[in-house]
Amino acid sequence: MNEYIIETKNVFRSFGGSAAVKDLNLRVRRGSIYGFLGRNGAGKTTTIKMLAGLIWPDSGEIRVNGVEPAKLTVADRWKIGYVSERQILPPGMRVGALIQFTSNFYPDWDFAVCDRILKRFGIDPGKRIKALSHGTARQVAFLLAMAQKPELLILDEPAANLDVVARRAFLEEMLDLIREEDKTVLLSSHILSDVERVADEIGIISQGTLKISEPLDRLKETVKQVRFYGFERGINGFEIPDAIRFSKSKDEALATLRLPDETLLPKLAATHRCQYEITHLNLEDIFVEVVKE
Amino acid sequence: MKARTPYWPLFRNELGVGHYAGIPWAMCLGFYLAIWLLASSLPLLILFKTCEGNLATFFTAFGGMFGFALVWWVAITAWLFAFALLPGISNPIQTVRAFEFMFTRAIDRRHLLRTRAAVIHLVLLGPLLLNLLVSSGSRETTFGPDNSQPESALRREQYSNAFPASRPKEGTVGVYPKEGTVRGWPITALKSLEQPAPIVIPRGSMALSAWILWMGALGLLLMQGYCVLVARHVQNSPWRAVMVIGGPIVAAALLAPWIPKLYPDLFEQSFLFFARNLVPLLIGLLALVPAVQIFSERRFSKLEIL
Repeated sequence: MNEYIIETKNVFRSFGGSAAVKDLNLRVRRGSIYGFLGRNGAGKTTTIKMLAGLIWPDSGEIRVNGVEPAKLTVADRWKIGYVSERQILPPGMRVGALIQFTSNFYPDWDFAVCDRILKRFGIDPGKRIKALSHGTARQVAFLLAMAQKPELLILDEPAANLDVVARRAFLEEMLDLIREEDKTVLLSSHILSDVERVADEIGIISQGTLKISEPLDRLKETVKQVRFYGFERGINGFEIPDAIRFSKSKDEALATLRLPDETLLPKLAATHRCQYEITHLNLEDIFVEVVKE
Repeated sequence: MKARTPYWPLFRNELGVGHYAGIPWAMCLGFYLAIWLLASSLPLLILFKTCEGNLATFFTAFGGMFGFALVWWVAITAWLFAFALLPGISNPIQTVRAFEFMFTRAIDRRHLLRTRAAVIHLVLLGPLLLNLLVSSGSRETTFGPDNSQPESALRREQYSNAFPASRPKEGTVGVYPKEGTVRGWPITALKSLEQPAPIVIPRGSMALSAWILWMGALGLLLMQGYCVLVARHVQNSPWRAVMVIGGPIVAAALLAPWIPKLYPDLFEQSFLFFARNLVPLLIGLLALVPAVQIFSERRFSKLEIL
């Protein structure tokens, strides 16, 4: 079995001549919770829709569980759960009827999971979908994805448009369930605090390009913001080409850098005869540094 | 485990079962059944009540109602296929975005479309099929005598050719009286006093019902092909979708009144052509069903949901 449940190679997709995703190389490890981050319009949803087989790439390769999304069979779909930000469930159906209807298509459907989630979220199975609040409808969509017992759960902004309290409750319940079931999760969100609490790995997409994709711990360990100051021979000529972000003023420079080891900065400071100061970044800071134009 | 999409849950879903409260659903069903029965009996009612089973006068009446029937048919067919195929158009059961829900479940898209098409075919061809079944037990159909057209003899011959088993009606006198009136016409106005007896067309009403069913099925398949063909181009634009679906309906509404005026014999000649070439036309239609379905399923499988 392949180590990666999702693999894309040089994927490109445009809409009306405007590139939504460019040269995307995304790999999601089995068993991980992958936080897929980006600003609105960065290409997250386009990527996720390509993974879910709702739209097709113009070029490049996509493999989900080893299969091209365009060729996903019914058996392949048993293993993929999907909840999208704007996914609308059949509005006239009652929750119970929708569960019953959806269960017809999954051999391993778990009614116990349904009952548990209905109880946890306090959802009335007799209510029609159109009578539910937006948040409750999202919870039902999540329930439907969980009860099919998927190996891969794709969640595109599952808690978007919920108020803070509802979002937190939803995320906590969702995480408990995901951990219990030991699934691979691709979680797209622009709410970084949510992702930071749960994700093992992080991918950051900006303007259709995947800028960063690595484990969250390593990302936080290695990406730092460094202020260089006190240049004895002047700041002219001081550049760091590999920096994620670099700016300089008359007498100091600010760089967001990936520092794989401790020795890089002393060497740099010695070469340019300057001093430096390191600022540790949280995920939100890193995200802003990466996607800032 | 055999990975196959179960058929009946999809079929029930396409009929709207479980989507509405019981009473509105039953009311809709009752209304639809009334329309269904009316539509299924209308052609035969016209034939036997208005035209007294005589095909010579039927097509004039048929031409009169054709415009309304065509517009109604195109409108119903186009919208049902639009609901089934175009993600850009909100439909009463699934809504626009529920396409995404269905497309991301473990449902084979081809089976989904097959079920949708089966429901639409059943709903729209059901009355015509019922019409065909009822016609098998209806009384005999005749043609002539008809002096309203100078080509009467030619048409009579065409009927005789199209229905080789036709025969002169027994017990009818083929000669009109020398004085008095026939159907309100003075005898002197008639070209000839000697008139051939009406011909009896065995299974004529069945042939007529089969012709209507054949035209309906052909129209349905063509509309399915059209909707599938345009689906990809309008899939994310409700306005474009409404325009391409509304186009044929408007065209039908504009053309329908002119067809009987410009081509008064069109329906009758079409019927006679159908009767003469029954077998090849039926084979052609049957061959068209899988062709359209396979084409539709391929296109439907490639639809994108933005």
